[in-house]
Amino acid sequence: MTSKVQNRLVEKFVSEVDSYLQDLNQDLREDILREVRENLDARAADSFDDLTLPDSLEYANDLRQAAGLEPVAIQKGFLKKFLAQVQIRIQTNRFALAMAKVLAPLKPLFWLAVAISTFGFIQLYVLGDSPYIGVPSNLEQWLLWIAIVITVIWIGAAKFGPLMKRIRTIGLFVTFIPMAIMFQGITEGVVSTVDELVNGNPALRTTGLIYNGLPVTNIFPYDAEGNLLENVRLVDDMGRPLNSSAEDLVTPVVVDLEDGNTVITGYLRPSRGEDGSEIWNVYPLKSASNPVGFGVTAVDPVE
Amino acid sequence: METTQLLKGALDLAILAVLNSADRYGYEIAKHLRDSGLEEIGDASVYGTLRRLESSGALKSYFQESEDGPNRKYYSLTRDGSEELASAESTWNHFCKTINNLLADANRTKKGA
Repeated sequence: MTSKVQNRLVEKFVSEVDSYLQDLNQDLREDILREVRENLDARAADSFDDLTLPDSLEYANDLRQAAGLEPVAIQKGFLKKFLAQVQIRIQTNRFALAMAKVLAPLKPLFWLAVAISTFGFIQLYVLGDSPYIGVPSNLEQWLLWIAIVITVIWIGAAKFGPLMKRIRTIGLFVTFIPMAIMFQGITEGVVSTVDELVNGNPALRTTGLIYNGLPVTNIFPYDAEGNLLENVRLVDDMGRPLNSSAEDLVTPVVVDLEDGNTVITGYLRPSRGEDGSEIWNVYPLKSASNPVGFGVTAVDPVE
Repeated sequence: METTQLLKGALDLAILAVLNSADRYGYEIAKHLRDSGLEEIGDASVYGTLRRLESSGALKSYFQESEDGPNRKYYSLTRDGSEELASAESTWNHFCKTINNLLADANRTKKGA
């Protein structure tokens, strides 16, 4: 047996023993497991043949009984047994162990997130509404925030017994509620910020085509000979229909003339499909009434 | 009679006795016990007993560098441990003497009949 394989088996054995010591406090557990490793190392160094590992449950039971502890609690019931098995599988899985190793340095960040979330929880349900959940808005809130961060990080780093561990887990689940709300808020905020950067301020944005900053209400396509084409559907290179802003302007179309006057050009109307539905990107859009000075055919396509 | 059953009651005494001569680490103690004839002793039982004796104050532990790997946890007798050893030795001797006497009586009765 290679030492690599042997090390893996030892780690698996130690993890299994650890799963039978979960009710003990972390310090005691770590001390016991350190000694189990020491024992196996010494046995491996002493043994000329391959190291044979005992049954982990029997080993844990012998150790516990000799130490004056309760024997391993055998889980009763299908679900509890199943969960105990899953726990052992995860704890002895190489990938899970590797992931735990990678994620271990991020533990303080996780507890910091929990602290912010806890503060968010208090903001939501005690302090009342706040413009930004999780972010203090005055000196008192900042002091509270700092106190919560210190407390939560201490709780995260503390080595608790089984009862306190259970309480800590329940607390974690409770703080996940504002964390989820905050995460949703942050995601929406990021999306809208990116959208604003790319497409401009939504309040000032006009849907449809823009020309020199002004909405295009109608489009007049011509062929190479300069003949006006009718009933043309225009799409861009990605297959998106080119829509003028006329859809938003079912109300009277107001146009500012060069001489400073404003005129109502008429009411633009969409074409109708066979089923009677409105089709807004068939150009030129027709006007329901006589336009003023734009040469738009005054024919209501609906009629 | 199974040796393991007998050992359960006598393991404390055996470990205290081993540590009376020198400080040792867990595996060394277990090996010493096995080499002395207690082949059935399990490492886990030794480590569990060491932990219990340490908690009760009969033993104390310290770490010492090892040439073969990580630091080892050595155990040594405390004053309480020495007193417990003396007391347990006396109890054990009395117990052995009583059992031996009973066995001798039984043998004599058997031969007489």
